[in-house]
Amino acid sequence: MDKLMRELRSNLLSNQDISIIKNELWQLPIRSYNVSFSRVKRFKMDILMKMLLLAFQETDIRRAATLADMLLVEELFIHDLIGKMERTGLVRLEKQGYKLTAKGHDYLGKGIFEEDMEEDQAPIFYSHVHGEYRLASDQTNPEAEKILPTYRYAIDGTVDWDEIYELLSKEESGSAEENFQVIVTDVIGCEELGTESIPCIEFQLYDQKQDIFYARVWNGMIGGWDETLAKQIEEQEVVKWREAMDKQKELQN
Amino acid sequence: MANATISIHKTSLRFTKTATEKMGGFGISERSFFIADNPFKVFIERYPTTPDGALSVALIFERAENGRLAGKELEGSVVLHCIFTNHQLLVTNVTLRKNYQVLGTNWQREESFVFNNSRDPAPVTLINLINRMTPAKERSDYVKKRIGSWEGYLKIQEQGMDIPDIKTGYSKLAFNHDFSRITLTGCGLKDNEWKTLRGLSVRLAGIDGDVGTVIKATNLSVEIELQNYIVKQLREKGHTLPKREVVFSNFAALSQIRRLRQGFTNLEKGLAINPNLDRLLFEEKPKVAPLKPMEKLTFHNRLNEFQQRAVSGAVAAEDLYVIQGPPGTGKTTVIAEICLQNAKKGLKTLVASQSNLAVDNALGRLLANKDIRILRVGRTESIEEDGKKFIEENVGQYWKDNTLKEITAQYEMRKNRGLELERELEETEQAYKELQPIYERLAAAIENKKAALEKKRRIQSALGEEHNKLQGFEILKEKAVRQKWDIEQKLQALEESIQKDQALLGSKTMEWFQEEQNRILHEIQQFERARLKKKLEAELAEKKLDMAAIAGKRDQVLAELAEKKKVLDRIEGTKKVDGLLQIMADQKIEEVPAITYGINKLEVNRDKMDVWGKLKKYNESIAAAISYVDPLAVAANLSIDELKQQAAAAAESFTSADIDHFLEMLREVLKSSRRNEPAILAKALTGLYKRQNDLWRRGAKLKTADAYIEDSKRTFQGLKKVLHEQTMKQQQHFFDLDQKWLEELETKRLEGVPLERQIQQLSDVAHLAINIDEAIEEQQVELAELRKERALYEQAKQLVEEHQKEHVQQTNEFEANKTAIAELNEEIASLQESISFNEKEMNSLREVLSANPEAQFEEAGKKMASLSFTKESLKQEQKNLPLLQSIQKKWLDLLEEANDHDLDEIRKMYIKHANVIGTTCVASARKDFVDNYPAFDVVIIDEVSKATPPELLLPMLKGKKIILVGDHHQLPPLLGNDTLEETLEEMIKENSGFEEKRELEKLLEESLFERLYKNLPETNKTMLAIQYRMHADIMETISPFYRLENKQLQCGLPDSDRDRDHLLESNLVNRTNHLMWLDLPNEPAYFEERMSGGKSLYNPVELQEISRLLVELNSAVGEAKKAGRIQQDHLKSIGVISFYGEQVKRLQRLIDQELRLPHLTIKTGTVDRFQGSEMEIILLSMVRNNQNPHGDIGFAKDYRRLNVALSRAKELLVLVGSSQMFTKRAKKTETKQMYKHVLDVVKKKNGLKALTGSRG
Repeated sequence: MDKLMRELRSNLLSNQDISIIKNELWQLPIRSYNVSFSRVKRFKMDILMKMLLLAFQETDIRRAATLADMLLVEELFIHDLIGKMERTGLVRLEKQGYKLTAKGHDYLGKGIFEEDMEEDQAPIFYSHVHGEYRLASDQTNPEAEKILPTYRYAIDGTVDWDEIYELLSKEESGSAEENFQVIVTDVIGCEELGTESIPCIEFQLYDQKQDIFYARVWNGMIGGWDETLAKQIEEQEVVKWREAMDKQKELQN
Repeated sequence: MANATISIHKTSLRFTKTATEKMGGFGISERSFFIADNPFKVFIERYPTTPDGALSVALIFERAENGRLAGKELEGSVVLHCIFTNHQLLVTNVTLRKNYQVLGTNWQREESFVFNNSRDPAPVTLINLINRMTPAKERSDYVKKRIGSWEGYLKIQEQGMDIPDIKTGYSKLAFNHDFSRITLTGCGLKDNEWKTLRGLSVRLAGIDGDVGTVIKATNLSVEIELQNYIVKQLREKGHTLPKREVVFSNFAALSQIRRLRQGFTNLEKGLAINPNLDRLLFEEKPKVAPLKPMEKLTFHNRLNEFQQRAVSGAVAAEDLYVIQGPPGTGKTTVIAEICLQNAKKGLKTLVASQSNLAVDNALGRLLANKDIRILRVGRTESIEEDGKKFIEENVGQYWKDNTLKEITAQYEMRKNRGLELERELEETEQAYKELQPIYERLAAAIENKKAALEKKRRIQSALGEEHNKLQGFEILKEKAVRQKWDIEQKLQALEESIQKDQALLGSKTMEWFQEEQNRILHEIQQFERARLKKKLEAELAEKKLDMAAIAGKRDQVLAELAEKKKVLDRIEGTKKVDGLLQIMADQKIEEVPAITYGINKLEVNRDKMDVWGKLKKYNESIAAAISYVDPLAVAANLSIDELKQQAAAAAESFTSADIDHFLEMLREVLKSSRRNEPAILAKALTGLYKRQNDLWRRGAKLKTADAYIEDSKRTFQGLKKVLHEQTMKQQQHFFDLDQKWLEELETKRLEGVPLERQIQQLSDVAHLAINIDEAIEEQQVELAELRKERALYEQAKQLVEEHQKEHVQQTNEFEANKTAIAELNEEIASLQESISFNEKEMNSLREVLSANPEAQFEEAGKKMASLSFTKESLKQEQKNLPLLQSIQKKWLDLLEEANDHDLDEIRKMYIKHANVIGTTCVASARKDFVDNYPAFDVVIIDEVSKATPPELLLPMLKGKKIILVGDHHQLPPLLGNDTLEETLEEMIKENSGFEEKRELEKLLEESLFERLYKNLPETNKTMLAIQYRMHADIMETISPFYRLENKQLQCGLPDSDRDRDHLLESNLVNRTNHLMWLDLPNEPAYFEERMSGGKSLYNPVELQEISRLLVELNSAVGEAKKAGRIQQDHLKSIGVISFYGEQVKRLQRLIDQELRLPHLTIKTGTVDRFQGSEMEIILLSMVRNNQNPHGDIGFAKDYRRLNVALSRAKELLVLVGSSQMFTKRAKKTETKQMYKHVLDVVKKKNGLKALTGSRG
């Protein structure tokens, strides 16, 4: 940690206009959860095509316009798609309207049924300051060597299942075998594991040339400069830092 | 593009020897042209006419024809170079045209040909067709020449561009405070390379794509401005890049320029979709095609009249339409509406603009409508939030969201529809049932009314007849009554007259009249005699008077005679002429000739005696003188005789004055010392003798005095005698007069005698002497009266008889009349009875007739039909409902679950059928874009005035119709980060050797948009004249900029004060303030300052003031929140803008570093960068404040910049700067005028605050 801090310091100070007015170490509390969720395997099939097949199965339709009115979809699209289905032999035009061929029935069947998969679990971190859920990485977070003070603007909150679902849909869905996709269908459970402490290094900086105060926060979890934290600190404190400096100058004079 | 024709040209074709040889070389035989199963597809391109005037043309065979011609593939298209000789088509040369050269340009025509090897002349239609074409070279030369003026833009950008990529390592990468820039140090660059770095784009090993642009390269470090989208990536990876390597490259900029150049080339080659694009762009008056007839459009956005006109015009225009949109006038809405109208017509629209932001703004405003499929094309990372949902990977999602929304709405609405339908159907049936009897009743009522109407007509006709009759009778009766009255009047008059006459007849008799007459006649006779007597007496008296007068006159004459006698005696005694003259005058004796002669003679004698006396006197003087001079002369030995002779020799005459003078002179001389000089003496003496001689000569002509006296005496006696005679004559005259009077006296006496006798005879009437004439007259009047009375008497006698006869007659008539009237009365009574009966009948019909069952019947009918229709459609709906609901439910479920993969097909179709494509001007020329979207029906370019003409050309090339939207009263294009002015200024300063400076300045002045807008006909342009952004007070400051347009800028806010209430109250700002000027003194303490070594200016006092103002506004928002005027979570948006970049930088630093303003959201920027944005509040820091002699205000003098600066604020605009500087010190009058207008408006709105006051 000290080594990292030295490195960062020297990097920052390589610009001669910049001076570090304060340098602090603290920890950012982060909630850790174990989330379990359900998944299904589904045949890859375009929904409009599925809808058309369903509609042809259910009623007699001769004109694309009729469907366009029912589904509120551009007639052009339906026209195109019917053409494509006719060419591939899924439907054909009969007296009463379009009818599914045997191939069409088969195809629709595949599209409708989905196969349940085993439940799965994923560890998730949540930082309320960032308002952000993320999958916990495999690597262990650098543990603070000593007990660090907590981030001064840390806040606490409750779990938002929808956001977790959104994260999982994005991260855990994907293709399975050919023509099939895996979809997260629901979040089943969410077990809070506890609070992790992420060590962070804060620099309060002054650029003499530009007469600017600003903050830099190294986030130990992401291993980079954290914009959200730096902005939050600047928002709250920059004016105070300036006042303090002005006062100090006055004292010196 | 190519004009395909159906007709086929059949023509002979002949070859020169050269052509045949060349053809052989390519392996083409002549015969292959004439074996024609199918016509050849040929592009014809006209060449300039040959020097000998022959029409020259190239026939270019499509490459697909090579097989037919050569039997093998060739390296390009076969071109036959032909001329027309003797009306035949002769091939003079054959070449191959490279494959990459495009066929079917606007300068070519696509035609079909069949050739034969006869010697027939070529068809006239073909020759005419070619004749009508413009030679391709001329067209492209035309374009090349016109486009030359645009080269400047490219030349500026191309400066120092031909730099090869520079690759080098670096030792350190450091971020600036907000990660917007990085600084690389330890780069291994050559000295000459440092200078070229600025403006180059930067790639870092390990990062995809360009990271940014070099803004500074000094002191062995390179400062790089990062692209927004790269910041996040870089701050995460920046520390862990595997390899420290950087590449500086010009590739991006160069490829952009190349694209712009390609635009020029394409236009030259005739590759614009609209074949007339070159003419539209370059002709002084663009020759636009007439508009299609305006159709009635249904608008999907709420548009004002100007917006509607713009949309209608843009839809109806064939090739070009221009929309001038001042700030806040809803340009984007207009663009959105045009896109939608186009989509409805099945047209494909390209929405292009210079900046990504403007494209995204325009697309974001488009309504979600299933007819419209929007696609945003461009680099994803540079597309703004509004445009993101339209990029390829997101359109599936966008489509899903909208469809889901609409389906859900319909589905939800229909959920309760089943029950509703049942109820509605029941209601409808019930209503129908209820209406049925009413309908029937109304039908019966109509029949009833018809019958009544018939009866009414009958009665009406009877009544009409009766009324006519009654009227006739009443007229007759009236006449009879009038007659009766007349007769009565007449009878009464007759009776009165008879009575009067009879009274008269009883009073006198005829005898009495005779006696009276005799008496009066006698009286008259007596009176006349008396009158005669009186007259005679007067005559006699007159005679006597005459006689007395004559006697008087005789006495006078006698006196005269005595007088004359005395005169005669006086004449005798008179001794002098004067006495005689006196007598003559007294007695008025006429001067007869004899008298005149005598008097004259006396006078002459007296004169002669006078002259004689004078001569005698002079003679004595001269003689005395001679006697004095003589001895002197003798003493001087002068010969007297000689002198005498000399004097005598010349006879001269002298006046008396002359003689007096001479003598005087002589006396002088003789008194003087010269008296003895012989010459003098001789002269004197001669003079004397001369005069003496003269005197003597004159004297000899006169008689002596005595002789004259004697003569005078005689004459005097003669005169006396004549006078005597004359007096005697007068005496005789008086004697004659006396005799005459005597005779007259006698005559009068004799006349008086008979008169006296007559008077004696009339003495008996002497008593009647008084008023005789009057008496006679009285008697005569009496006589006349008497006669008249008598005549009346006789007349009365006759009248009585006549009247009595008439009376009898009238009485008879009266009786007859009475009977007639009685009869008439009876008739009338009977008629009236009949009429009143009929009228009663009519009244009884009125009620039936006044009812209006027809309308009710019709309405009921309609209602029944509509109910029946409703019933049917409800039944239909009821039938369809479950199906529709079931299908939509399925659809809904599918949509809700859909993921990206499910939408893939939709996404592909969406992209395939996209009909509104948005991209930037430059991106519209990228290869992939051109490949996917070669042509558009309509190209809409937004913010045209902000793009350079070369940029605009790119999208323009792609459209059949072009719609330009912009405002030339706002700022012109930026070149890179700088304005054109700044770029130019810098180039001049650097003296870069750029020769086309002058040309560049011209570019500054001309704006393509402005020229088109001004020169297009009214039908092809519109100004949107209603703005909805600014409070009316703020708008007033910019209205002069639009004064010269046809329409005045208007404020479309229904109530500015309400709609643009900023809700703030502070020391400085009132709720009513919307426009303010914080006025700084034009004094050194408030002056602008220049960065040391920099070019940009800033103003420290303005910084302070704006800081103060921001703090005040922040707490004012806080107060307003407390008071409940503003919502708790609302942040007031404030734009802090300035003409100068340095000031903006300092403002930003101030806001970031020194202020905490939790109630505000602040953006800073230069005025130029703020074009297109709007804020609730704008603070404008004007910076310039100095006392330089030039009064230079720099960029602030451009009215377009001021216009932009003033027109950003919705609720409150505060100018911070010295009004003295801008309105008085500025160099140009129009600049001062421009700022003065702003100041005047500010003052009018009570917004001027002097700084000294606020500083206290």
